[in-house]
Amino acid sequence: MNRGVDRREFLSRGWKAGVVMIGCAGAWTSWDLLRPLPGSGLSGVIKTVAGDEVPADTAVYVRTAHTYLTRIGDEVVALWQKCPHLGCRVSWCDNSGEFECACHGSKFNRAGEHRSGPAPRGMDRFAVTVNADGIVEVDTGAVIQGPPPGSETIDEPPRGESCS
Amino acid sequence: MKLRETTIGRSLFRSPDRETERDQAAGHWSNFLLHLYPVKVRRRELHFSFSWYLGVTSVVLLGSLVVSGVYLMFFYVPSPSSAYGDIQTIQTQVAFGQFIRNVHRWSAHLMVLAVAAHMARVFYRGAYKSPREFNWVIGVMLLVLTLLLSFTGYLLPWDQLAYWAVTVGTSMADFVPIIGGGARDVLLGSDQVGAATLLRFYVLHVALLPLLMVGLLMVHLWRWRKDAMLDQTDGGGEA
Repeated sequence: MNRGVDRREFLSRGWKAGVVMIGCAGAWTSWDLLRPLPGSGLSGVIKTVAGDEVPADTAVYVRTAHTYLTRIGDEVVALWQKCPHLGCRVSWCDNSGEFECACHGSKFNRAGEHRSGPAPRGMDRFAVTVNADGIVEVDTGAVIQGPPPGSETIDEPPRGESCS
Repeated sequence: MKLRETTIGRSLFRSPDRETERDQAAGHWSNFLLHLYPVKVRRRELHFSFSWYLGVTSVVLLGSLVVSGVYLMFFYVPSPSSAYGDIQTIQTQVAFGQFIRNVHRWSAHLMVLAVAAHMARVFYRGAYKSPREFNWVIGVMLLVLTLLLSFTGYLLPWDQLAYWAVTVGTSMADFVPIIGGGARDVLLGSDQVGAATLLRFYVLHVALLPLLMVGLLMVHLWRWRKDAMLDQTDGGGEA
């Protein structure tokens, strides 16, 4: 005669289910506890330099914002230093007039557009506003993805040897 | 007076006095150190060419890593302001520091090689097949732990190579579907490699991963001993 689940079987399954539930709760809690603390990274609007100090033939590095400022036409562009490939710091090479990533050799033109190398897109960037005093403010709270490769909008071929 | 006849000796060694030859033989029979190999083992398995002792080599290297690692821990603080300097101090001022660090470094490289070779050896012998598949799975976990220990240890010198290698390594985690971004955040503890990352990698490297490794290693060795005389004709072994 089948009486369904007897008491012994019920308790056995109950214990197992309890252990699984506690395990899941523990894993979930640990995962949550180990997430980065709020405000541990870049965030917020960062004041940089005066707008008319941003040159049109090179890039100015702003350490506090992890950002390069450069002038494209009339506009100031804020390019995030982090390579969209695997996160190394891209550096400006004055000799060639390009951004170059030391890790895997991705190259970007002065507007941060992808020129060569394994990066999947141009350099990521931040929104820029110029305040009433003419100071450039960079909003590091939201990352704007760089343009897809093959979309160069400025005509500035490398002007010399690469730095790497 | 013999140690075994004292009160302390009697509390240490519970086994009976070995008086007859039969008793003495039984003593050897039950001695663990004389029987690291399974009690019964095929003669040809004892030959060097059977296993190349790659598993044993891995365990010996792990022992060397634990000993040298503990020594290094006495002189290393995992914070961005002191980590790099501590390594310099270890190499230039600590007694045998340069030597111990080299032992740790080379043992780590060799252990990755030994573990990979051990795995290849087991694979090409077909020793992963039923009924030994459970131990193969444990072995794969041990391989992953070895690689993770290698990776977490890489950051600790806190030099340029370490910093950017870990930046690249953790960025790769981003490409794992669904949990990738979360895994990267949990590893870094920030949006980039920094003080939180160094501390996390240190804790993983000296506490969490070694504990898991020793635990799994015990299961691995126990199972290896128990599986020794299993059938080798059905795939397991050289069939």
